Amino acid sequence: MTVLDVSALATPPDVDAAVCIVGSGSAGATAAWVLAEAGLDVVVLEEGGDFTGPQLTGRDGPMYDQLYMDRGARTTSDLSITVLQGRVLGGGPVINASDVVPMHDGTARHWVKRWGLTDFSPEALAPYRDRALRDLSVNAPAEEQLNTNNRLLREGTRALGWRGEVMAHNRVGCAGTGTCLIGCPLNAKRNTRFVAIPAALEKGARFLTRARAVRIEGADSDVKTVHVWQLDPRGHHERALFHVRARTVVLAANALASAQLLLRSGIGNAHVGRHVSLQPQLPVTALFKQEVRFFRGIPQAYAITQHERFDDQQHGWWGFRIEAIAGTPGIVSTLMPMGGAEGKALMRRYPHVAAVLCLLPDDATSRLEVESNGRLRIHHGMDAELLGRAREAGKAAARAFLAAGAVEVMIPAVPPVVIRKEADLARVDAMDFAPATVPFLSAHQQGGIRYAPSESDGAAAPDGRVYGTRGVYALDSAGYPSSASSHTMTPIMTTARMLAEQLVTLLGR
Amino acid sequence: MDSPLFRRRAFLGACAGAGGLLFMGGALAWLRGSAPAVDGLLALTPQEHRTLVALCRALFPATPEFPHNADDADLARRFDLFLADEPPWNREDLKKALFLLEFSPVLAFRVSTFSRLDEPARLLHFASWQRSRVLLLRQAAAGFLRILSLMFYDDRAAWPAIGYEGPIHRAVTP
Repeated sequence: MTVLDVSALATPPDVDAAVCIVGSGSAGATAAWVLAEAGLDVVVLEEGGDFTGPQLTGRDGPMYDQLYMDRGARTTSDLSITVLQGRVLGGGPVINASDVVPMHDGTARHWVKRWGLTDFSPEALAPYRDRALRDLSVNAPAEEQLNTNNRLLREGTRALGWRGEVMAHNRVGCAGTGTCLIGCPLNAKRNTRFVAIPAALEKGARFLTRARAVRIEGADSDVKTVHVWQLDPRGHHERALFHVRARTVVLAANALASAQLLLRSGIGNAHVGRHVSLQPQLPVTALFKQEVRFFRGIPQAYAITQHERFDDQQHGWWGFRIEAIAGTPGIVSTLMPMGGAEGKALMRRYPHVAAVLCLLPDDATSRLEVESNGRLRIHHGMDAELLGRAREAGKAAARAFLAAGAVEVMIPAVPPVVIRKEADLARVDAMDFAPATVPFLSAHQQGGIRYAPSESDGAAAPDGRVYGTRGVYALDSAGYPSSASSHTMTPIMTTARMLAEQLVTLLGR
Repeated sequence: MDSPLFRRRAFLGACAGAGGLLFMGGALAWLRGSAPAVDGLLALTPQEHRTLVALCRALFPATPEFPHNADDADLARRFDLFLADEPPWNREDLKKALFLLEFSPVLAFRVSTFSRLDEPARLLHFASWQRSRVLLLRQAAAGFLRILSLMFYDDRAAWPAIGYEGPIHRAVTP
């Protein structure tokens, strides 16, 4: 079997299958593998195209256009947060930083205790997590693979006596192209695209690309009909509608897109589209006298873990975490707060810049709304408490960079906040974070179809079945009641395999 | 109340109001002027294109250390191509934002549209949007700056000035 690009068809035919999976990322590809292995006839719908090897050109313009939802321009409704979400065969792992950070046992215990998800205990998840780690060929980056950006962050962390770690990753054969966030032209990421999808294809699963699912009909019937748009070859325009008929529909299109599909279909209870965690990230840059050239090598390998904890009564994972980051010129320039000669002068510092992202677990109070034309509106829930942690995180990042010898640190806000010495940190305290003045990012969306043992507390049962439906399941991070991890690839592969195996049993296989 | 005097006052008031609107419309049309035709535009009108060119030149001017500029990168044309592939709601939002940008100096009591301002004044005006208390203006400024920056710095001719040699893996570039 091969991957079928439906944009190449004159008229896409309707399709019948036992299971229709919407989305081909960590959850969708893993579920397809498990279900196809059990002998089920599986069809997977992917809105993006299939990009591997030299098709991943390392160019910002075409790659953000092709590999990201809304061409990389998806934002919250007030433009406070740029929401990065993969839209490509293989999903987020094709464009992520390849960090492997499994769900902490403390977070799993929190889900059991606070949310009643007894099936998600550390003991229950352990074998599935181990399987995910094997599938990812997880390994530790070698010391020589740490680029100057990561080393400087480690140096600053150690100078301050803080905790930090080199994160495990799923690269094999990495040559340090530095373009991980727009795909690896060397196919060095051992991810869904190169593990789960080939395995699922081998077992007979069918993958349709350039296929946008927009509606599910008959969610309480034996057979559901998924309405699907054939997209044009570049994935920008809807061409012809076709249908996939299946007894079981699996939502695995990312938290936002899975909830969006339910909202567009009028399926589910009042919890659908609510309790969304965007896990905002605050970028902080630093200028060094020496060349850093953060755009070469592994962009994100070192993390300051000093300020995170996993035993918060209300949230499980809480506090903040600071991780090195880098990017190609286009995406880095989108963080710059000004134009004109001043803006260009800032970008001329590019080889001397180091950068981090401050990851902020949030309270899952963001919510989604779908307009009549299908447009998704994301209303974020950044409150005073979260912004307080953002200030603390920004100051901690600045301290680490100053300790590593930075000439100056900048939070690229409007106006920019520049820190050259300890006393300047008060400027961070004075930041008001008015919407559309600070380039927050979101890369790990969760929630929107929250799992809960009772319909009064969530949108789906702990086995993934969406309440009010017969045979519609959410198997991706949409079900998470709180942030599972600073990097969701491994947790999603873990829970998707566990839930897909349960689904095989439910379907009598 | 329905006296001839009242009817006459109402009529005169309506005439004055209509006249005022016509005057304002005429003044705005005069200020806007006519834009030169541009071949091959896919989404923008010539007027919108003119505003966009003015914005691009303000945001990405040639400097001694970094001579590559918005015109060299054909930035307005790239934006037009981008816009043509956007969903209708985004396309319309960005076109409305260009319209507002063009006339917003008038709202600030200047007898000029955005594209008629000189380059430093345009940059200052744009910066006033970035710092505005009005969320909509901040949003529009952030949106334009992000999209145009990504396009400008994706242009390989911009790389030498920022010390970037380009992707090190020789790949097929569309």
